[in-house]
Amino acid sequence: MNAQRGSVERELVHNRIPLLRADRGLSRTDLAEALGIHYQTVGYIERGEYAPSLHLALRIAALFGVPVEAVFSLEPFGPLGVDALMGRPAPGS
Amino acid sequence: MVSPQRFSPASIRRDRRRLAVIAAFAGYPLLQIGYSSLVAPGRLATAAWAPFAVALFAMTLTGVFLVYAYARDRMAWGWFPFFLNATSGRPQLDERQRAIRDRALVLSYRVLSLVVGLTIGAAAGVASNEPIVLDFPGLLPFIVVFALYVPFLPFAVLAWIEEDLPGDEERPLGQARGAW
Repeated sequence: MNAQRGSVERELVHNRIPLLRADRGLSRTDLAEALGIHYQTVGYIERGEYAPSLHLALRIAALFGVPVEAVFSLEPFGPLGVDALMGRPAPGS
Repeated sequence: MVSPQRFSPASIRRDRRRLAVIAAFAGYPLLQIGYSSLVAPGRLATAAWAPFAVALFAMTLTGVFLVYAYARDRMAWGWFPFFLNATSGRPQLDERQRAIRDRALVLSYRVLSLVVGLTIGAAAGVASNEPIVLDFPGLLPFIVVFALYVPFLPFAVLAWIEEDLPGDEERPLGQARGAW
């Protein structure tokens, strides 16, 4: 069980769900209802205490209309640049 | 005007859940140990022991009810009619809830296997020195433990292992704010 818990701790998945929720004006409850999961599960995912299945991760990304790698990452997300904040396409995109 | 807060079992903090589990598992065994070591040999009068017995039994019952209230919606066993009825009309568990329920069931099986193994080992050790008499008064504690604690074990393990709920942003209407 310790090994299992340890592997869960190592498999931390960072996410931008709070940011996307705020941008779309969604509450945890709204998001949970749209996904068919419990609203507390949204909180666990946001805090990185539960890594969602690939299926759920893809559904979350599809709900926000962004690629899954824009929502989840194995590395911490950096701060948003000016282009993203101004809604402009990133240079080179 | 401050609206009254309703008690929400789902918001019981983990430290308090663990206290409830300890109370549930400690109360009845302490009751039996106290009776067999103090009252049965005549060291303590039954009337003097009665308040302690009531308190210990109440401790067990309180712990059982708190833990059951916390975990009852989470232990949906579709194959068992009692739980099927108890959970009908409730939302399906999502993947995280199923995952932690499965962890609780696996851990319960391990705990139960360990306890059964230790009990058989202890019985074998005692039986090697003197015969074991299996009369009803002697078996009663084991019957109660089996009837009460074995079905309760997965609920207790779930209440023990689950992390505290995420920050209390937006609870559904009608649920209490603030962790109990």
